[in-house]
Amino acid sequence: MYEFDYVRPTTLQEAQDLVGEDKKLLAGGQTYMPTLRQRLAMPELLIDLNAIPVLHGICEADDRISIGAMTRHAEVASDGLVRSKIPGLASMAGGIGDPAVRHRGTLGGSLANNDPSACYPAAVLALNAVVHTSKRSIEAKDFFQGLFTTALDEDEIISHVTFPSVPCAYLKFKQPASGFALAGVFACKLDDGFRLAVTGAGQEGVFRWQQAEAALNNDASFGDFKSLALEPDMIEDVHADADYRSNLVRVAAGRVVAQLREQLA
Amino acid sequence: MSKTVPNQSIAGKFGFGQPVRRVEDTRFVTGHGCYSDDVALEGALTGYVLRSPYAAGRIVTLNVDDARDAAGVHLVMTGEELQKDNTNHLKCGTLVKQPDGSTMYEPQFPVLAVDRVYHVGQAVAFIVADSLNDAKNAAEMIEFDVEESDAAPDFCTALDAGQPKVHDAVAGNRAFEWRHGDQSASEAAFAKAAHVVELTLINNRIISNPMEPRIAIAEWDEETQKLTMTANTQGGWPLKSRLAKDFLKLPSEQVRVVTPDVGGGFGTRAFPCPEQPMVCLAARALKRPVKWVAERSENMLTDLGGRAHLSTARLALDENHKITGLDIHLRADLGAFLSDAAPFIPTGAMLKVATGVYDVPALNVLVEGVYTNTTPVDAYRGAGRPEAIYLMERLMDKAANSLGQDRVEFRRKNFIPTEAMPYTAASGTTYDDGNFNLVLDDVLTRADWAGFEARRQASAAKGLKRGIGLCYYIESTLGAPNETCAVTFMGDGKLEFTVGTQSNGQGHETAFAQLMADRLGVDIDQVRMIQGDTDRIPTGGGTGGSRSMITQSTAINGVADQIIEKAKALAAEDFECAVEDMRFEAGELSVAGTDRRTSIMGLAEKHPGALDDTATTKIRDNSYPNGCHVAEVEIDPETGQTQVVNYTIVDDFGVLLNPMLVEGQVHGGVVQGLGQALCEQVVFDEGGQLVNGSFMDYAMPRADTMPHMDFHYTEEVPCTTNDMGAKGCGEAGSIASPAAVINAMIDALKADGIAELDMPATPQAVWRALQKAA
Ligand SMILES: Cc1cc2nc3c(=O)[nH]c(=O)nc-3n(C[C@H](O)[C@H](O)[C@H](O)COP(=O)(O)OP(=O)(O)OC[C@H]3O[C@@H](n4cnc5c(N)ncnc54)[C@H](O)[C@@H]3O)c2cc1C
Repeated sequence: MYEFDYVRPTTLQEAQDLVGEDKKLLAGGQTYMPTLRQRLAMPELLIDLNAIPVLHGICEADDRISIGAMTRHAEVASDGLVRSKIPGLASMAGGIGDPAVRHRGTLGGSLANNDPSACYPAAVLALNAVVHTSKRSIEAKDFFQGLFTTALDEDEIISHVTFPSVPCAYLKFKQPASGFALAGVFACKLDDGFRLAVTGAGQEGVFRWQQAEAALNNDASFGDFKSLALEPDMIEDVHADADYRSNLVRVAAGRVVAQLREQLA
Repeated sequence: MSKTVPNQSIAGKFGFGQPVRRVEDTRFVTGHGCYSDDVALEGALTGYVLRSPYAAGRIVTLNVDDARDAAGVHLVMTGEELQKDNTNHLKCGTLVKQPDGSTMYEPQFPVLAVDRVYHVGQAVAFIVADSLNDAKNAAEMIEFDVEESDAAPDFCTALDAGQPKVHDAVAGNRAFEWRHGDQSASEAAFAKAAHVVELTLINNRIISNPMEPRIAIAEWDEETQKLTMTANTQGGWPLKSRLAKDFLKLPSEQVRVVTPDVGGGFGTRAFPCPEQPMVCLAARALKRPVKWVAERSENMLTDLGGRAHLSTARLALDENHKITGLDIHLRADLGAFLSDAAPFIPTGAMLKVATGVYDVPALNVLVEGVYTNTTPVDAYRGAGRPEAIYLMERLMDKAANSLGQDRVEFRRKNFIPTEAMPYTAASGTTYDDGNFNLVLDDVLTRADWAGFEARRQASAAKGLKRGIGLCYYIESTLGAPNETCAVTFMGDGKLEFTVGTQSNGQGHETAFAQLMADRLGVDIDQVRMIQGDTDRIPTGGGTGGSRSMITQSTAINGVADQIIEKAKALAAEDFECAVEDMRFEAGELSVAGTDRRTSIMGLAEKHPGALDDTATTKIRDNSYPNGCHVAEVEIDPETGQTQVVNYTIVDDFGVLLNPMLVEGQVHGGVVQGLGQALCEQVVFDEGGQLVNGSFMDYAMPRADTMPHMDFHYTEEVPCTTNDMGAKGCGEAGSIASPAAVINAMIDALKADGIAELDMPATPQAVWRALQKAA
């Protein structure tokens, strides 16, 4: 890697004062460390968020569950509150990568990165979670803006994310090498109806499958996902062609909705 | 009846046949192993290789001036200098003869590129600096421009007309043509055949991915003018002579190769690689140690590839479904240059078992070597024999299925009968023994082959397609027939013995110590195996081709016999009795009919050096391990996902020294084979770029997707060509498993009209086959 300076602040304010162009944040390092090692990034300063206590942890406030940006996937997966109140989120976190990745990787890092094959974006979008940053609060629908692109400014730090407590389920077919989603569908039912968010498949990243949502809102027992249009262009890569990916999205939707129905019953 | 590996023996039982736990594992799993990267020499500099990002083209500029001046840089080596010194060619040791009698043409395999680049990842310059970061910074200052030309990265099409040429001097990318067999007899068999079955398949290219990447460390001693290379080899002797002769131009005594603990070889670590001469020449020039360690993605890009055949086979059968002829035409990817054994693998090594376990009267083989603009290809676990068996066992299933025959009975009908042993196949191989029906009966019972239909229906009720398949494989072990063992009694109740094999994870320290201890009647912790140093051990055949047990055990037995005879003579003198009256049992020498006795260790202490001895022995022939693997799969037709739900093995490895080590070898081999069958595949794009060159994209088999393996073995058919009766076991698993699982998958899908399926049979490939069939 190229040489850079390194700081490990203990308050969010210190980090906020430092962050900016060429002054980058480090969370779990599961994405950023390999990037640095391959000399694909050349930051001047690396701001390690690991020692900022307010960014860690899970709590319940005003009927919502708040998860700190630096909370590891393994913590979310095993947390009693999350498991009982947002079961799909816990099972999603428990299926990310492998144990090493789950014990280092963080919620904030995953969202800031917005990998088109990452799992968290599907959960956050389907659950209409709110991303709280050092500057403002951003609704999920406004947060994800395409491949590796989010609403975050260069000097903005995610502090925590709040989720509603609702029945929900997630199912992904894994890319066999990395464990990322080849196709993943997160399903839940909010006050305004069913919501299905799809990751791993769309060329523009995570998206809501509106046709499927409409079909379910029209008939809660709907199951013929194979008949529905999937509008976004699908990713084509060494792991799967577009038609296979669309098939996986449809199969995943059918199976995950069946799981959701069990919870709703 | 076959056996199952017993539990770890009761303490104290370390003898022959016991499942003794690996003595090296404590060291390995507690971080006390000493791998090449753990060798930290004082004052060592770091090497870094600048590699070509282009697959093909003419080098327009290679300017290293700025890099030479960069901070921390001691040396920048280029191909031009090596070319001048005549030290820029890695020679191939196995050039083959073509049908017209000519030896194939050998293009230069440069250590560092000159004039042209031939594949992505080819070494262009070697930078030696104080640190890796210094070296990388300097590499970025190198001006390297290439006038790119079209590449031919795909071995399936590289021979087609109009493909870009890899080497100007090689027309149509055809590296060689090689024939074996009796073409006219084969043609006659096909002309008369009642049935002909044909199959074309791809044996996918893989990366062997040992856990430990390639490493080379060189240290030059100015005073003695001696070079010591430390590297993760599968036996340092060939490397020693190559380095001495072709690169350092020194008498071979002035080169020493040390191999510390090795984290995986798989054939890939058996052959010289360009970085080894680089570090040697740099260390001598700088008079300082130089160390180079491949980074993971660099290792994936530049480690020798494995497999990569496009094969067509035709089977001629009479009206009773008895095989009358076999015709094989295969195209083997060699990559851009000829690695040491590359031409031998698809020819001589493949041929050994080309007819499998069947009585094939007429055989005709045509092999074409194919150059591609890719990293060179060479041996990978099984090396040629997995390719042959995969082809034959797929063909046997296709023949049975297409002729409406039972797959098991069809095989039985064509087995080489046990009474015919020793049997010389049309390949020229003489199988010394084998009882294929014995093994087959056993594995079918254990796998409950007969009860499959009920399981199929149960799966179908869940919406899953279930299939069962088998592979009956036979292997020919390979490699040098000689091996040596030298024993030194240390005088403290212990002895050391050397081996010319080289463990790269198999557990030799346990196995050979177990054998030596058993033979001399001492405890296993009284004997210590020494390996991996060409100064201490002057000759050795290394490890590869499943040769280690059969060759090294013969030498150990030989030296133990000699020592026992010497000990008897010595003890007879001490006891003043006749040698004929001396008895040796359980480590003790006694005078028959008396209570006069001494231990062998006691005798050695009393007579320092007197019992030390060396034996060099030779096995009479290769051994022919064989066995049958049965795989059972469930396929989800909606997603194409396959689960291997049952996996049953009966192997015939002759007599086993340590069944637990053997089972471990089989597990590893099966997993590698299932990896190749289900997920592994090297993908180059049209421009010759490696698309899946990291573990984020290259799918390795994983513990959570692998089946439980129900492993059994028979010892009823000992090998006749070595005294222990052992047959090699290291490669068998990777030979048998690809065909077993693919045959099972085709069985699951045949009701849908699917008769063929290529590796890797990924979920997408299965789903697509079902879509097409629908
Ligand atoms: C082998 C492997 C398998 C994986 N499998 C999966 C999978 O199956 N599913 C899945 O969803 N993910 C997967 N991941 C991704 C992983 O789970 C992490 O989510 C991801 O690497 C990013 O999180 P991190 O904490 O490691 O972030 P880092 O790598 O530290 O940072 C990533 C980026 O986010 C920025 N950033 C970090 N924290 C913040 C913050 N609080 N505010 C603003 N910006 C921030 C950083 O500056 C950087 O640009 C996998 C990763 C690996 C290596």
